[in-house]
Amino acid sequence: MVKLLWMILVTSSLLNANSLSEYIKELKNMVLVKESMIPGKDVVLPKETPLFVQQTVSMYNWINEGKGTKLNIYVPKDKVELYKTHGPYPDGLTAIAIYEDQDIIFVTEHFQGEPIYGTFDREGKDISNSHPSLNVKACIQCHTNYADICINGTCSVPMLDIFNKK
Amino acid sequence: MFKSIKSKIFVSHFILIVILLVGLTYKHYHNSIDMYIQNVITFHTNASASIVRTSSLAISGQNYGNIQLPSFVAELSSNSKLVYLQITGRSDISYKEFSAVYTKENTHMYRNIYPEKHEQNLQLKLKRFQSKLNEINIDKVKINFLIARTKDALFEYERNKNLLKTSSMKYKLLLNKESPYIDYDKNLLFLSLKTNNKNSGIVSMVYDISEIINLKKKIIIDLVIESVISLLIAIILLTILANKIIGPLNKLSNFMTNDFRTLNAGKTPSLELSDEIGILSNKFKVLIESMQENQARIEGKAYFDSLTGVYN
Repeated sequence: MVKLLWMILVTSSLLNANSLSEYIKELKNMVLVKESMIPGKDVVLPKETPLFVQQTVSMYNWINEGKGTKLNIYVPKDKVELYKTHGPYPDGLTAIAIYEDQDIIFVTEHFQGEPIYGTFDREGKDISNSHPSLNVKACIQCHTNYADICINGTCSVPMLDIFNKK
Repeated sequence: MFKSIKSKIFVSHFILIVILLVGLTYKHYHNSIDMYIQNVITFHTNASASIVRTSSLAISGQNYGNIQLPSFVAELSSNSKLVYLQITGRSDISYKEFSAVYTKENTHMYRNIYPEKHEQNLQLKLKRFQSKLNEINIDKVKINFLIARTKDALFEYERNKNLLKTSSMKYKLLLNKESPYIDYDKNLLFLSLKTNNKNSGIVSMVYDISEIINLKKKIIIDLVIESVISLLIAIILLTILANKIIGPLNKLSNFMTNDFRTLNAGKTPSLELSDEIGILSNKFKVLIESMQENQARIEGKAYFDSLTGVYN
């Protein structure tokens, strides 16, 4: 009975797998805070690469027919300072990540102090159900569960963090 | 008892063979069990590679979600021998303690450590979200999503707390042993493997190896059959050997019981043998011939005068 209830509860939250955040039409008032890349599927990462990065790469290296993609992260001007400290963020748009070579836009937004996610193409079409790795479930799986790396819905590994103060 | 050489040879050799057989059987039994245990350890260590990989990732980022994924729990439960698993370590960045436990009884991976006031914070969050439901301008889809997610988190917390209370503690003692460790009383194998995240961690696994009971039985039955066959062969060979040694001696003994004057020295038994019995027979032959000669000489002296050669 408990198992059944558990399944119903899990299903209830995961059924809603469409994008929850809003699509952002233009990058006006957004600051490019990070330029990175997802290497192609044939690229062997060095052993010392943080495991979080390894998982991200293995999850998304199918992008652009396995050739990898440039990844840019934009944050609203008024939230750049908050982004440096991983929030806490006020409600509204928090950050967007763009896979430039495949035109995939990940949107992180805060609502009632909680991060919510969405995945869109350049035209604003919700593509969260087009691939398991683009699903909101996958976003939550990483952004919510990686408590050490993802704080308040935004993630960064210190060695990759351009804001890392020395 | 055992007065005859035949019985002495037979019994002494038989005892020697039994001692050798018991020693070899004991050694064989332990070698078979040790080899089986080594194979089991190697098998489980190799089969745990993906468990260690996922655990490393989870510890590294303090990610309990990764190890609670149905696919990972299904991977664990598909190994029917894995009865207990504990993942411990410290996360790579914030150096926070990480601990999760899987038990076969519950087929569930539960989190062992929560932040302080975790439940109260979730309850407060839930209340806040639920109170927002009545607001007119609120996005119902988003707020319902957050309510469902918070309820999931609360349910999981409650369930883990209960499972921690009820889950069997019988494997806890094993976790302090040096890996690999076999508890032969409970037929459990304890294995501990290091994770490969930066700050390291440990995946401790307890496997049920109760199949070792049947294996032990099978090995014992095989060894008993082998021993019985070996003993039967030994008895046959010992009987043949004893007869080979004692038979010629008996013949010689029977031959020598006759009046030596009537004996035909050339027919002394076992003259043809080249072993010790052959040598003994030849010596007897020489002895008989010598005694017969001496007898003839004495008799000649007794019946004939040595000077005249006529009857006394």
